[in-house]
Amino acid sequence: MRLVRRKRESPEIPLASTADVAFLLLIFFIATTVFSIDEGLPLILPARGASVVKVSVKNVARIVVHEDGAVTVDKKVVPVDSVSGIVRKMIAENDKLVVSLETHPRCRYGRMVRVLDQLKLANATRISLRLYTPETG
Amino acid sequence: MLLMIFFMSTVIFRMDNGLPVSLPRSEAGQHVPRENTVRIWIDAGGRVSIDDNIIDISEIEPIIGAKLSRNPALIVSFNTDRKCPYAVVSQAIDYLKDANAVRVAFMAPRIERGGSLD
Repeated sequence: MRLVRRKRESPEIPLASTADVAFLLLIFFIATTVFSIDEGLPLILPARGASVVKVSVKNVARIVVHEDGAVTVDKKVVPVDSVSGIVRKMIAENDKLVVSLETHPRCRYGRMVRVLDQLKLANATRISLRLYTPETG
Repeated sequence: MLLMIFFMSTVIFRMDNGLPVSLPRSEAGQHVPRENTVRIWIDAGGRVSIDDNIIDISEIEPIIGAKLSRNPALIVSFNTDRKCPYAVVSQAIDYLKDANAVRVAFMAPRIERGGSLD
């Protein structure tokens, strides 16, 4: 019986690069832990006891986020992603505009953030956060 | 290799600081500096936690009030689950107003346009 001597197989995958891959993954995980919880939407609340500023109705854009997540701008239903475009236009027409963001108490918080995000994208600076009370319509 | 496994495990543990929450995502999220920030965690059931202690929501006022008196530049960051009813957040905001903590941030990691925000 002839034993066929096989040539020792040279490694097809160069093992030297596993260290590189491990290193890359390591850097990736270090990098991702730092960035993830540090981004958000900042806001300045009115201080309690600050005098109530009277704003004329025409200078207010009333955005209501309803219990089911539907969004209305001045009583008109709009798709949520269109809010930033709408508000941007309103601000261009009236730079004194105050955006009143009213959210239904049973509405999911994520929905409010989505709308607030749209307002930030529209560069709205005067934002008022309120609870939506359905009786006032 | 060992270091990588170590870092992978520490990534998971950092998320456990506070209640398990699924933060909403944003497109306009800005970087909020970690110094000067106190984090309020609110889970989907409306449980509130500060500094790893679950508290009654009314305790927000004294706790944040005390921190604010030590650091007037304090920012209060809301790390709230996206499914939490807004009423809880609204109540927390009212307590913050009572404590005169006006600088807040709603934490929502950024995603690129076209990604899923929901």
